[in-house]
Amino acid sequence: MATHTIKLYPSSDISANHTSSSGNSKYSMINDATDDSGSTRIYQTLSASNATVTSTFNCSPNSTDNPPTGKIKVKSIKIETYWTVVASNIDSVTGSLTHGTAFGNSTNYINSSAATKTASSDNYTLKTDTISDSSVINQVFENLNALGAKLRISTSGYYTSSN
Amino acid sequence: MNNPSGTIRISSSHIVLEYELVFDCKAEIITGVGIVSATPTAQEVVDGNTCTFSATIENDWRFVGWYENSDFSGTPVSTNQRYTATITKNTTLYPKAEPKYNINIYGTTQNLHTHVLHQIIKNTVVKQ
Repeated sequence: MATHTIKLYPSSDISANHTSSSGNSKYSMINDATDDSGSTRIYQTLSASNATVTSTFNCSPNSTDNPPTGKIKVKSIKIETYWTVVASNIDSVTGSLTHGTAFGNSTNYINSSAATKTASSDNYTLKTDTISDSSVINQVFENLNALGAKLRISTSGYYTSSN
Repeated sequence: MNNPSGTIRISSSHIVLEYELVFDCKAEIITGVGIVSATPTAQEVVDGNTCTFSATIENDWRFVGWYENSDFSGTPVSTNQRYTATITKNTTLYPKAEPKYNINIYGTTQNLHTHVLHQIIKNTVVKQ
């Protein structure tokens, strides 16, 4: 039995509360087929008190990836997110990232564990998580549209400064 | 005094989906050709898995084969009444049967319908 993989990119905003580096379509800032190291991005501006920002997106494949048109059986789900924490004139900054998925009409997002950074570098790193969603794994769907994949990104953090 | 700032930035994000292709596998009967029933009526099969087709035929009929075309054109994919196929696409097969005995009826047959002929065949006692 042959298995195949395909990437599903953010294709429209559901509820996008992060700030975008340009324009109003948040999804288009992060749907790079190849990561652009933050040339386009969404972000959360931190304050001295901890705060959380969450954005959700509908996801679709790129047509150039030859997505399947018929029935599929889902075998596994992963989320890959490139992210970083940036600080200036700050003693320290703490930021964390959680990402999750939901499918079809469900709004019951299954989230990854959180990753935390305290560095102040501008290097983007990849966070990869496997999502175990029993409502989807080993289930047959009429097609990718029927799968109705949604992605949720949640960030939270704060800084401390002596300035 | 410098203005402190901090951001959490997302450069890109996507879902990586691993999947198998799933195809439909079913047998369809053309009524009135000696097939009582055939299976599966509908079944989903993962690409590369097998599907077993099976037909039950009328008494005094013999099984001819499984065909890809509803008009039984072309070569049958199998002549076995129970046929297991590896499925790599949506697959519908049509079982064909024919009477075991040929009966020659002399004179006009234009008013004899097929089902009447079938009944004659079923009621015929073959004597050696």
